[in-house]
Amino acid sequence: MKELIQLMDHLEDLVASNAVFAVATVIYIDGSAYRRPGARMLINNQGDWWGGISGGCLEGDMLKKAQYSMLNKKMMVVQYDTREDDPFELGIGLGCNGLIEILINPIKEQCIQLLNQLKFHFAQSEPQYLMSRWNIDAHQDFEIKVLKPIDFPHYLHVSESDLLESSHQSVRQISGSTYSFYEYLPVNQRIWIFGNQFDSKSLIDQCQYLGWEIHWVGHPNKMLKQYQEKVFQVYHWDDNMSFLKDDAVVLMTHDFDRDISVLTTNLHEKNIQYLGILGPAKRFEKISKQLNENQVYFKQEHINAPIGLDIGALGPNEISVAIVAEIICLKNNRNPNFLKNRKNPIHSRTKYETN
Amino acid sequence: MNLPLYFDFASTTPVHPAVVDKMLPYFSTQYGNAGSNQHYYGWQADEAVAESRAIIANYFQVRPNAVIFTSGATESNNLAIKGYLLNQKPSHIITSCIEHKAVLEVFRSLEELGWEVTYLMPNEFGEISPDQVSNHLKSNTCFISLMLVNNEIGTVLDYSSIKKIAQQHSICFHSDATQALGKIEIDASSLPDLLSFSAHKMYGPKGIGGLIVQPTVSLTGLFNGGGQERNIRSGTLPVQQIVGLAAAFKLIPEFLSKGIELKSFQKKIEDVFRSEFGVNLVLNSNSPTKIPHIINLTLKDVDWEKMFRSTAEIAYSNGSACNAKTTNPSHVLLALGHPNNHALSSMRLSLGYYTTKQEIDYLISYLTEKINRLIA
Repeated sequence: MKELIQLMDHLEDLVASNAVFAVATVIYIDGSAYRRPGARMLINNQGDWWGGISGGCLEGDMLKKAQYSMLNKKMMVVQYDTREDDPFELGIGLGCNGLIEILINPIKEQCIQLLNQLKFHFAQSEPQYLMSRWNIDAHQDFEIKVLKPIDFPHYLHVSESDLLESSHQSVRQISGSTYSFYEYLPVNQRIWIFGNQFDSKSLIDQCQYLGWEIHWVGHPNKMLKQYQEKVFQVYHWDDNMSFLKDDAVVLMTHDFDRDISVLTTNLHEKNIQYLGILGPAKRFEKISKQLNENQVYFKQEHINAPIGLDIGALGPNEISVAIVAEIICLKNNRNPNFLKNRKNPIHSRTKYETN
Repeated sequence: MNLPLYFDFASTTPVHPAVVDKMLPYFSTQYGNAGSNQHYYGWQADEAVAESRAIIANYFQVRPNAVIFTSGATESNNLAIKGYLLNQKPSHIITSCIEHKAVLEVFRSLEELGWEVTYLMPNEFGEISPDQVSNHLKSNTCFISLMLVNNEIGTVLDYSSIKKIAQQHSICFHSDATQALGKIEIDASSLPDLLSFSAHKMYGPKGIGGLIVQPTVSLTGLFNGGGQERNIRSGTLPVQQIVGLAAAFKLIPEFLSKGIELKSFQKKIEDVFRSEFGVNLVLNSNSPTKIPHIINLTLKDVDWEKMFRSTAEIAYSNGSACNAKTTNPSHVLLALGHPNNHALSSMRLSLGYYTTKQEIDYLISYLTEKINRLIA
């Protein structure tokens, strides 16, 4: 998400400065690929670029193709196929072993439409879908809009819409010279950090690196000014807070009574994706007991305590990695393990096309 | 002006309209096979080939049967070298390390068969001298191959002196003249024994070239077939391409007449770049006798990938040997003593018959602005 938001900022700057540029989007993959459909790269005619469409093996060639597309003022769909051991194909030697299809669009008005649709999406608080449709032979024939799942029946077959909704990935269709590309647009991850002790700084840094929207709750006068500037919003314990269902909440108050108070007042019966509490299991047992006595009930499976993945983390920096990794893991519905032990592909294959 | 401006005439040239006009009938109405000697269409095609061969022979002051048509300079070089040497017992060859890959790679393959190859190194101007050739002769030297004009830095070979050395020692002398035709006057009296050339570097079509084979030289063909081209180069003759090649030869005086203007363009570019880029600039095409068509320069410590990406309005070549998919530093610039990164941050601007003053002015102003930004 962070990359897409940064790319949008650069796109906005390029539009404002009337620059010549193109947007390259991964629209289809088969086999292994470093980036998923929806990954984007923004390129200007000065050779500057932002974002990426691979792990680095294709960007160089993409810069040339994008320059060509800008000079021609024509869209291009480019395929890189590294599934066979052909030493004259790009990507060989990097172990890509996949097919990747990329749309390059140098048409400014259409890129502006993309920017506006993405802005519209990020102003919403729920995941949505972006539908793009273009005719490779008739560039004026272009449509792009954000869809809610309820709108799918107008555009997709039941099987395709189910696939898109369940996999959170993409569908690319080709009909003659018309391409349609449906991509899942997640919301930017929001995190609520309760606590203003020194260890909250590590978690803020980690979340900021990932581009998450950080809500920081504590005593504002005890929160470092430079860290207040890093977060989206600062709250006093007693302020009103509005949670969304995909939010993650971390309690790291180091104060037993404060945890009880927050759980009782702010979080009880709230529908949130993740709730983690810092501290050992014994401390959480005490918290649970106290909540029960107060007749405040949480289902145990809804609380992650002790917080974090079991990576043997020591100190605030490593603990913040364990917390963030746990949130990502739950968001993606994954079971943490070594990838080397994984039998299935790293990412689910949503190969789907209609010709 | 149509952007991007074309400054890559050493890579290939547009086909001159007069050449296109000559070729067109041979696609549609005069389509006979020059080998069909039983009917009108075949005679018509054969006549066109004979006429074309005569034009080229006349240019080089050789007999028409000394002209062998090939698919281009790479094939001509292969045919000249392998066709002459493969039937002989391996001995010694002299060439240079700034030859085109179409020559160097042939010699590399011969080395594997037991041939000894001496690769002469250029001097600071990128030149190979006759003295170097003399100094490296061995009792068993049987072949010399040196290009007439270097494709990257525009140096011109003293082929007349080398021809004399070769004659004195009864050594076969081959030269790749691909970059020379239409750019320098050719002294027919000092013509090498074998001379390769290609149409698309001289405003002719791609896919056709030739090899001049002097009568003293005996060649064996590289592949078998219908025995065309005196059994040296089998394959149906591409009549329209041959007609195009000959038409381009007829235009050589016109191309040569552009040389004086190109010299002034070349000087202007060099002068401005010297003053603009100062110590960051190394002029690689610095031979006093270089052709006026090529400016090869290195911009030290400039991010070469960024340089090429940010100058898309000019079509030029980089100082690299781009094979199918990889970019390696140019072997010519490495031979001139450049480290890898400098060899990569080099550009070859090549001017041609259609280059105008207006384009030169645009090129200078555009590149100085872009490169100064990269140097800053």
